[in-house]
Amino acid sequence: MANASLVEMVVVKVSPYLREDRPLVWLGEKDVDQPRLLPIAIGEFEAAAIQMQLEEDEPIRPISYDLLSSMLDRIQVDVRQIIIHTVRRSIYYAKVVVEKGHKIQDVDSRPSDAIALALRTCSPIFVARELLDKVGLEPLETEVNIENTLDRFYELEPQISETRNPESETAQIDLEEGKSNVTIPTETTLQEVDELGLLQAQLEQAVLCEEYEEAARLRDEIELLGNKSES
Amino acid sequence: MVQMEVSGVYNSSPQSSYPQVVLKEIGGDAYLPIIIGRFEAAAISMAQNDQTPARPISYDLARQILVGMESKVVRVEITDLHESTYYAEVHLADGEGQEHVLDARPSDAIALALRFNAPIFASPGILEEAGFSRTNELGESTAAPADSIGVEREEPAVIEEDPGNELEQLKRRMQQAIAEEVYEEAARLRDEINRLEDN
Repeated sequence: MANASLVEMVVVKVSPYLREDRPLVWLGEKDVDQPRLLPIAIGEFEAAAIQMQLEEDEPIRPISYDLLSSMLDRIQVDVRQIIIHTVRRSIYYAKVVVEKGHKIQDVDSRPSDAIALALRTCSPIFVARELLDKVGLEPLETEVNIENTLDRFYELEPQISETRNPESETAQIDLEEGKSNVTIPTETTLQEVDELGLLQAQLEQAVLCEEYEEAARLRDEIELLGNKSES
Repeated sequence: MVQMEVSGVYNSSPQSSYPQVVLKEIGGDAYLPIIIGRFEAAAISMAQNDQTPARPISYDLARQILVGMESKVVRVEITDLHESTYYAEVHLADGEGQEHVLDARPSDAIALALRFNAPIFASPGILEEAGFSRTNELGESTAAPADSIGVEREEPAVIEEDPGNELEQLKRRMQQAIAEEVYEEAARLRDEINRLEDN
């Protein structure tokens, strides 16, 4: 679905412990030569759910996203697309667009839940062009630049976390904002998010969604890229 | 089936460092402890205490989508305890009044039930096997014996296949084709599998 105001993205990877023990999910622009990147800080549970799907690890029992995806399947609701549309006061907002028959509906969501669901339903992931223009990382930025700009992306999703007080039975909302301590990550996580990495991520997702024609195309493209860098 | 309610969510217990949710028989004295994940425990606890998160979590998202599509969770059942793993069912009613039953982990089922005000049931067999009562045994213990508490497992499963089955053979060949990156072959096998599965 071509839409000038939306950019299709692919989930490149989850980097678990880049900073502050908060995982990041990395989205990369799909099918362009110089893909821009969008990292979003998410919760550990949600990161595990996304990672599990990327690695095709089937849990022995369905986790919440598997349950949701099978419920939607059963009542014939399609997840048409998910859209990450806004960032406001350090929080990203997304919506899940669902469809049943002629009925189409937007449902407010955190990006992590939307992405975890989209991977299970093989639905396209979009980011508002305006948002990506504003906060997307350019592929040619040096690693130093990226380190400096990463702070902008350490924008947290509100999430629930276990209570720190063992006496208490109630859960609490963990909504931390504005991390100011900049620690330069020692891992070379970013180097893996290059053109090749992005193509490979797309290939994995095409295989996951049984889109083998697309997989064949991506395989050839990866091979071509490999030959180019050798010569 | 015995109707239950959530009695409490505990961060840890003498038996485990994982949280547990304890279900209590409505109008009775049977308790059922289930060890669950931390995220799920927090999600149950919040719903039980009528707390609304600043942003929807996965169960809230599920509720919003289902409600928007005129569907709802009408009941959940803790149906089985097998090799220390609890199994549950979510009963979902769609807009056409049809009921669908889905396999679920008890934690997800309970977290959803609370968001739909749907009743929670447990099978009498499970209560007998893993439940406890506050008044029996002279009120001596309020905790279940460690070995009787079931957990929810999340490790990857080993998928067993029947080698004689044509469908399984095709699926294996497709996996092989994927492993060898012969995606054109994989596409052909996928279509064949879909045709077989539709029949």
